[in-house]
Formats: sequence, C-alpha cells, structure tokens
Amino acid sequence: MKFYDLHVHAQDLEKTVEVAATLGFSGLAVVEYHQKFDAFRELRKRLRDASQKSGLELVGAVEIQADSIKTLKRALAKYREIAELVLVSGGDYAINRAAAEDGRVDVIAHPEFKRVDSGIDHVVTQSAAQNGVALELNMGELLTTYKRVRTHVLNHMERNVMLCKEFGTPIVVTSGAKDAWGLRDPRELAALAQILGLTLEESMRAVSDTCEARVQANKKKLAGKILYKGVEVEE
Amino acid sequence: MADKPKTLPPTLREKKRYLAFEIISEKPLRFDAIVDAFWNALLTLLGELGTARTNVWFVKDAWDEKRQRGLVRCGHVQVENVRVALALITSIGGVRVIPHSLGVSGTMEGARKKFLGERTLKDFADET
Repeated sequence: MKFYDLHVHAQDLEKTVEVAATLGFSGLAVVEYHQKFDAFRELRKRLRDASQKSGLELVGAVEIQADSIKTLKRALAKYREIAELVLVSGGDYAINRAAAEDGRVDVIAHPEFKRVDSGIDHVVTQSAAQNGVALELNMGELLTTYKRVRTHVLNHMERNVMLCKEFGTPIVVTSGAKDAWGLRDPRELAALAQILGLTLEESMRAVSDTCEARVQANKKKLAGKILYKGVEVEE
Repeated sequence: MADKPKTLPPTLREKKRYLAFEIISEKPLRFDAIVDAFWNALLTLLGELGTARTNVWFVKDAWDEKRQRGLVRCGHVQVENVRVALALITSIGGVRVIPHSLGVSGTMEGARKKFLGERTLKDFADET
C-alpha cells in the first residue's frame, strides 16, 4: 500500500524527505502559498530533483488562502494548469462553500480552522461529494493546540467526519507539517481518522488510495493525457 | 490462604496488545522522560477515565536505548487511542521528537522479535 501526505510545508526539503521516507511514505505533496508564485515554480524544480534523488513521489501543491470568492477563483485559474494539487485553506464558511462547489479544487484544508463551529454543513459536504472535492483532517491542528482548544478541534473534526460519511465525501488525513518535525507516520494519521469515526478500511484509504488516485489523475491531466472526463490518451 | 488473587482463566483475562514504537529525536532520550511525556499525552487526550481504560503499561526491559525503540502494552480495543496519543507528542524535555509506531503484536515475544530485532536462544539453536 502506498501512503501519501498531501499537506506538508517543507522549510528544509532534504530533511523532510528523509524523515518521510523513514516514516514509510511513498509520496508527499509539498505546499506553497498562492501568494508566492515564483517560489512555487522554484519549488517544483527542486521537487523534481529531490524526487529523482530520493525515489519518493514529490508533487508541488498550492494552498490558496483566499479572503474572498473572487480571489479564490482568480488563484484557481492561475494555478490549476501548473499545480499537481490545489488546496484551499478553509476557515471561512463562504470560502469553504465556494471551494466545495468548484471541481478544480482538490482538497479543502482544515475547514474548521479557528472557528467556533465545524466550518461545513450538509450543503457544503454534499457539493464537495458531487464535485469530487476532498475534505482534510489536519493532524497539525492537534499538535499546535492544547486541552480546551484541542477538544473543540476534535469535536469539529468528528462532526465533519460524520457529515462526510453521510454524503460519501472523500476524506484525506494529512499531517499539515510546517517542517520535518511535524510529520507523523501514515498509520498514526489513519488512527486519528479511526478514533474520529471512520472504519479501519476507510481510514487507511484516507492516507493511501484516495490521495494516490488524486495525485495520479492530476499528473495525467497536467501531462495532457486526460482530454475530457472519461476520455484518456493511452500510451 | 493465598495472599494474592488467583490468576484469571484465559477467557476472563483482558486481551493485550504490544505496540512497538520508535522515537526520532534531535538527541537520544531517557526512558523515564519518554514515559512521562507519554502519560501526559494520554491524560490530555483521553482524560483519566479514558487512560484507565487503555490499561497501559510501559515495558522497561524492552527499551532499546541505542535505537530509541520500545514497547507499550495496552488493551486490544485501545490500540488506536494509544497510537494517536503517542503521535501527539511533539517535544520531550525541550527536544523535538517524532514518535513513530512500528507495529502491533499480541505477545511480547513476537513484538520483541519482529520490531526490536531481538533473538532468542531458540533462534540461535535453529540457525546452528
């Protein structure tokens, strides 16, 4: 089984890749914020080299931190053709909803971020399921919070898992690591999903098959091998 | 009259699992420090009642100081809770760490062999 972490910010790329390999990952999506276009292009070059050196599948991902729907749409138009993975930073209900309704988005990252509620409702979850947008469970949020705040985060995550299960929305579990020390091994990420209400099989899928399928499909799209939905160029 | 309770029959005993873990850290850590951090993580995540139900026990003899690997025993339905609590440790005594769960076994012997790479006299005998 191939394991992926789709949300990693790598300050020290070499160290991050080394730790990820030790923890048993087959691939990482290294994230850059959407405001830094040049840094993202530079990152993709570095990832290509690091990927060849380490044998890990490293893909360039962009995290869109939109303050309005207009910014979100603009960033999506700019990055969708060059980024292997597009994450939208959640936390704002309007942004969460707009992201769920746009098929160009791959993952809504931490939809409950800094909120007093879970950030999504049945409408958002249903739209996400229809458009194939995955919702993220971010372990990094638990590593940076403590006691009272952590209980709220866990509560919101559990609610989101329940909604996703209800509507069949894909879930991905990520470490949301800011550096190599924030990485956690895939089985631990799966364990988090499991204690929040997924079955063992579903939780393992959330760190492997769901992530892998998304990365491979996007790679094919970027290479021009998928012309339309269901029309693919075979070698 | 015996001064301690009789050993329960196998069907009434709690089913145990041994979780093997490795601590990736900036510098080597002592077993006591790791156990303290682990207890804190368990109590913070699961509370006193939840931690009591895990029936957790740290196997001191199995701690490999050199490779920073060890075993923790817990109830068979509590493995995932213990795993998540382990994963929530970020630093021990100011040293940044990445706890890495290696796997689960039903017996201590199995866990020692499989995850800690220990060999018994029987293994030597089989080889020769």
